Formats: sequence, structure tokens, C-alpha cells
Amino acid sequence: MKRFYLARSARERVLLLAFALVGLAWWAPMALGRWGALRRDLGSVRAEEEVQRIWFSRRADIEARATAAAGALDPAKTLDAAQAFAELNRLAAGLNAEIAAQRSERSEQFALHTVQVTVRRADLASLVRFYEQITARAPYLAVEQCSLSVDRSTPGVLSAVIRVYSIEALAPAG
Amino acid sequence: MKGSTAVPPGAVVLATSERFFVRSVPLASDSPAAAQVELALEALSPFPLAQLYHGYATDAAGGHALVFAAYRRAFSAEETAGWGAADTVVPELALWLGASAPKQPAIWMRENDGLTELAAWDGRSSLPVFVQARRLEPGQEDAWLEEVRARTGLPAGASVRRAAGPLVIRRDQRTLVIATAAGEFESRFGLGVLDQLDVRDKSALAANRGRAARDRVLWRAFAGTLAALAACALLDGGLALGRSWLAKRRALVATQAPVAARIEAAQDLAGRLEQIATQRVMPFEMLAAVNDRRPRTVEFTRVTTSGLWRMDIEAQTVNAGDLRDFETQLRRLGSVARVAVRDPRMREGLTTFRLEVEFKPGWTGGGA
Repeated sequence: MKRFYLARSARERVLLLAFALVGLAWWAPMALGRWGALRRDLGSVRAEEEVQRIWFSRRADIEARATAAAGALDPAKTLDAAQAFAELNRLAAGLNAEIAAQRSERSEQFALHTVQVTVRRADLASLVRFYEQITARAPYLAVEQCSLSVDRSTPGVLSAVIRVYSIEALAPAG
Repeated sequence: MKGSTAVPPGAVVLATSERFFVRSVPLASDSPAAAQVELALEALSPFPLAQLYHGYATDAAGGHALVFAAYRRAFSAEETAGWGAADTVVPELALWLGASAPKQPAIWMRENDGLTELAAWDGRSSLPVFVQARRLEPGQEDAWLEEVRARTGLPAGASVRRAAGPLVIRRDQRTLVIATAAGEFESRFGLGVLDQLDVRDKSALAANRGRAARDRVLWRAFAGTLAALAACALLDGGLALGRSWLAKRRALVATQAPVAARIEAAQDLAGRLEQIATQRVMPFEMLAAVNDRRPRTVEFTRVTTSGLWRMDIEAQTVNAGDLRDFETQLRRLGSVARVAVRDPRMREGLTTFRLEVEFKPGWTGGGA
């Protein structure tokens, strides 16, 4: 290569160098950019792998903990989403209530269903009674969040948005 | 490489010694050797300096130089055609100019292709005192030796060493070595001395050196750029392999993700179940506890639980002073961990504010 290069005329040598430099200026930044991107991707995959490794390493402990938590529950008293809906409907009898199922979270052994109850224009005593009936079913049925607001036009009349959860024991698969 | 037309760039050319005459020139220490040599040559030679190929070597003490020169036309165009591209052009007699000088008077001779070179040493100087090349007929050597002894004053007993055959050239790191093939005689020259020995026109030589330096820079830049391009190619090749490998790892992570998500969900649910079994949100108990300390002028407009232990209250009062009292009363409650008043605003005599009340974890809804 050296002999070939030095055998060229001065003009050809300068041109060859210029072409090579242009090629390098075009290629090197792109290659370095691709390298940087690969390093970032590798870092992200490694982070995900590390998170997964931690979860897998704790799998037995978590399952044991879930089993213990589930063991403290009486399966006969748990409520699935439909049962919770029906039960809340029954408890809210006499109230101007709107009940809507929101979401469910599931593990292999149990599920947690969330239902939102919206009560409009009720007196405090009726709301307290409704709350106490829910509380009596705890921990299978309980309040997760509650918001009360006063009806400005009618003193003593309240509106409430109550998020209630119910626990359902799931039969083992298979 | 002996003088010929096919001279690769950077080669060392050995010109035949036959056409060179050699003289010893004394040097003064107060002016450059090259100028003194040129001055001496103009006096010695019947030809102008521009018509001579010449060079010189100085002795170790710098007291004199051995100057060699040849009439340019004594060399054919074919012989000198490749000299322009050569790195160095020196006469074969350079074999004697970088050798380790003998400690005693001696005569060294080398014969090749019918030409005999002779160097006479006086045993003191680092350079020979006499150098000559001749084509000898059989039986003429003794007479030549006698003539040399007579001209140089060497004793009759001065040793005579002989060698035969062509010269070989090699580079030893930054040293040029010229030696006989069998190794009887050897001269070594540092790169700095080669310009003195080179017989070509000195100004052309300087221009050649400049061109060579420029070519060297260009070549190094070109080679470096090619190396960088090769590194880019290697990098891209490695990146392609890396991407393929990373895709496999990513696929594995994606395969395991649902399982990891299920474990994470189980962890969350187990935690919530444990919490539910022991603790629950008590909005009306919180409201009752706060309401007990409420001044009569304060009215709640909205209350909202946030998490297990916090209640956010939007309220209003016609007496701004009661806000401070209410906050103080709440702080005195043993069940309350923190009270904060946010965003108090007064408009048309009515003060509105938000109150954050955080109960102590584990509070069961009892009294203060």
C-alpha cells in the first residue's frame, strides 16, 4: 500500500488523502453514534435484567407471603366483583347512589376488586350508616378512599364519592 | 543497490568508486565544514562545482575531511536515472568512511568485478589518509602498494587486509550499514551524516529531503486515515454482532417480563392484603376527631382521605383569627402527627383555606 501510495503523483496523493478523510468524517461519527446507542440499549437491557433477576430471586418469599396473607382470609366471606357490586347495591338501598366497578388486580391466589360508589344529596346519618355497614364486612369489603362535599345550596346535605375494595379468593389453577 | 535505472523510492544507491577522486582537506573550526569543503573542491578540481558529484566525511576530531568528487559526465544518463528517487547516493568507497579505524597503520583492500579499492590508515585518524580505486592488471598490486606507502608515509610493515565481493546495505534502526558480503569490513552511518556523504547536488538534495518529509507526512496521514476507516469497519462489524446478541437478550427479557410482572403484582397484592388485615381507612372517624376541635365559625366544604392516615379538608370561616386557633387545637391532639394550612385566601370577609391533617400511623379511631 505504501509503495502504491508513494508511486502516485503529489496531486493524486493529496486527492487520495482527501477522499479518505471525507470518508472518515462521514463514517466515524455515524459509527460512534451507533456505538453509543448500542451502549445505551445494553445499559437499559441490563437494568431490566437486573430488575427481573431481583423479582425472580424473591419469588419464593413473595409467594410464601401471599400464601400467608391469603391464609388469614376466610374464603367463604370473600366477594368477587359481581358479589361486591350486588352487596354494595344492597347496602346503599335508600341512598341516591351510583355504583360502578373500576378495576381488578389479580395474583395467583386472590384478586382485589375496586368499586366506586357515588352518593348524591344524602344526610350525614345515612352516609355514616352506609359506611358502618361496609366496615362491618372488613376486611373483605372496606373503604379505600372517601371524599365528602357539602351541597352549598342546601345546608346539611352531602355528596360522597367512596372507593370500596373487595377481596376474592381464587381457586388454584388446574 | 548499485547504480542502475530501476531504483525504488527510498533506496540507497552505491555509485562506483572508480570515477571519484578523494582528497583530505584540513578544516578550520570557525566555519561550517560544507562551505570549506566546497571552497577546497573549487581549488582542487578542474571542473566547476556544479559539474561535480561530491560528498565528504569529517574525522571524529573535526580537524579534517575526506572529500570525494566525480565529474558528472563520467556517469551515463542510464546510471543516474534512478538517483532522483533514491534516498541516498554514496560511492562504494563509503565502505571506508564509517569503519572502526585500526589502531596501527594498515592498508585495507576490496576487489570486486576487476576493480580494487584501497584505504590507507595511519593508525591515528578515524578516517583513512588515502583512498583510491583502480583496475589492476595481474602483478600490479605490489607496485600500487609501494606507491601508496610512498605517498602516505606508511611503514613497510603496515598490515594489509583484503576482502572481495560486492557490498551489502542494510538498515539497523536509525543507522545505515554498508559492509562486505562476508563481513570483513563494515561501516555505520547515522542518518545525520548521510547528507554529507550523498554525492548529489546539495540544493537538489535539500529539495528532495523537503519532498520526502512532505511525502512522509502525507503517507502517515493517509495510513492513519486508512487505519481509522478500518477501525470504523471493525466497529460496525462488532456493532452488528452486538446488536444481534442484544436482540437475543432483549427477547429473553421480553419473554420473562410477564412472569416478573406477575411476581411484582403478587408482591403488591400481598402487601395490600397484609395492610388491609390490620389497617383500614377511617374517613368518618377522622372527620369526627377533627370536627371536635372545629371553631363554630369554620365550615367544611369538602373532605377527602389521602392514603391511610391523611385527610385533606377544604374549609371557610368568617373569622380569620379562628383559623390559627383551629390549627393550634388540632396540633394538641395526641392522635395527629402533622397539621398544615395551605393556600389561605380572604375575599369579601370570607377566609377559605385547605387543611392537611395527618394522623399517626396505627391510630384506631379513638379519642384524642
